[in-house]
Amino acid sequence: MSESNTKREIVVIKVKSDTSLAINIGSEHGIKEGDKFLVYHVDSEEMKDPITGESLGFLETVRGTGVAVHVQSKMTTIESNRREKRRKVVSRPGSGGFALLMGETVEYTEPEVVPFDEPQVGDKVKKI
Amino acid sequence: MNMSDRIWKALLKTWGAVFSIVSLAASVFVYFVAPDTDTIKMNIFFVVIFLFFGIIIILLRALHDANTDAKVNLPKIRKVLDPPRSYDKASALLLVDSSNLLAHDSSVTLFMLEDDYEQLIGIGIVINIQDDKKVQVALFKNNESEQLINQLKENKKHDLERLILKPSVPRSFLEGDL
Repeated sequence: MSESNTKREIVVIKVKSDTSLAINIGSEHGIKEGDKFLVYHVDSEEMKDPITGESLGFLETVRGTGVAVHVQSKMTTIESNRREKRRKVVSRPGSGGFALLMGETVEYTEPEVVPFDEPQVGDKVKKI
Repeated sequence: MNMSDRIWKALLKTWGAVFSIVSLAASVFVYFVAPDTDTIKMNIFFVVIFLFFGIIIILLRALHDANTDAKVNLPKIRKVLDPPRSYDKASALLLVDSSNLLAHDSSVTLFMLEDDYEQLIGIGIVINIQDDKKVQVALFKNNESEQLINQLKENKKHDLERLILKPSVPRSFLEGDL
């Protein structure tokens, strides 16, 4: 990543869908397809250490992670790259004259994209 | 062990206190016994003083580096929170002190110390290293730990102090048994 990029604050500039976001950084800043990003927002409430009472700063709440799929000179589209295996149950009809009787229920797991958690314009982004 | 502890321990080990007292006594003795008419040249005096000053600075720096290199402390867990909604399958979010042992997306194991026995609570994944370098770990419990994890979220001192986070995972986890 270029020097200017490391100092630049990266934020979400458009929520295209719950799995696709645009961010304010692009090829001019050294971004290329496949780069991975973490999207988060910073809580306004300061955290305290329950033991010492010392300030722990502000908690970053993770919205999700994404990968650059389309890079323009000054902006990039990222898509959620988290997958979770979800169990699916489907009924398959049989064939022939006993179609209804010969049908079967099949269970299988399929990886599904995990959407970002309520992403907002202005959410912070960091390269991971 | 921090640097001051290390210096104190070294002082005790090398009989530093005894040497200090002997040196002090010797210098007081020399002050009264040595003739006060003799002088040393200023140029030699300053060369010797700056030479020793330089040596002391180098030794202190070496001590500091050795202390840093020797730190293998496991990261301390500062708070146990509810997981973010983006990790809804996790049981808790651990907020952990900065550590070179932890990297993004790496797996860790959480134990609780009970009478010298480290009870496995769950497997975690580093989901974020915050700008302030604190580390967030999403914790995935094993089936027996649900009640314990709810108890941990109360963030009682007695519980937090017994938590141990190790940057490794058991073989059984890798083989899918956990």
